[in-house]
Amino acid sequence: MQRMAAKKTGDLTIRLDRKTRARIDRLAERRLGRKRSTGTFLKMLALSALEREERAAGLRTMLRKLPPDPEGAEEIARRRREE
Amino acid sequence: MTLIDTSILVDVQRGRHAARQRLDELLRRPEDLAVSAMTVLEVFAAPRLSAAWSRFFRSVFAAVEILDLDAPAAEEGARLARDMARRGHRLHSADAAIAGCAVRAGAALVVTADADFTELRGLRVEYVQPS
Repeated sequence: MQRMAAKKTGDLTIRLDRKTRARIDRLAERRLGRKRSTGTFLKMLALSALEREERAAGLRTMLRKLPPDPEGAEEIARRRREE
Repeated sequence: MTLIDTSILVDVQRGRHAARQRLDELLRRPEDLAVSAMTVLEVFAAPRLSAAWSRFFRSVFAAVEILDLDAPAAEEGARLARDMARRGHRLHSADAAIAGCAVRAGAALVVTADADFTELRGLRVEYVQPS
């Protein structure tokens, strides 16, 4: 289906056969509602995955740095039991 | 999709280790997570929520799916509360709303630090014991 070749520069080239390319193009059209080149769609997917990963890492860093706030937490807990 | 119950966020804020550790794991894939709109209300209704915690919760809510508490979710929650009552357990309205959102959205798992959730039928519940 595909093979990877490393160039001298260290860049990675992924070669797709025609069938795989057509499947990706169909998926791109379904997802985006318009035709996009295979390369553009794959770059969009990669960027979106990168953004997700960065967002997740940011949240986890925030969590680790936050000092506990037992009083604030008790306030939420108490209010949610008041009915 | 995994739904995070308010009780987990409360335990995280308390500094409880198990809840912090579990939320840290879950946040590796925020795109698979959800909270109920009821959780957003409960968290931000606290008048003395610090700026740092408010910023953190806001960031979490921006990264996960927020499940609306619409009429079908509310009816589902009411059904769960009635079922619990018939079996002699009490389900608070906020918890019923959250559980209703989870059922309605087809959540694969509800992660909670609230033992009441373990009595619910029709939901896969992971109870994170306080520690």
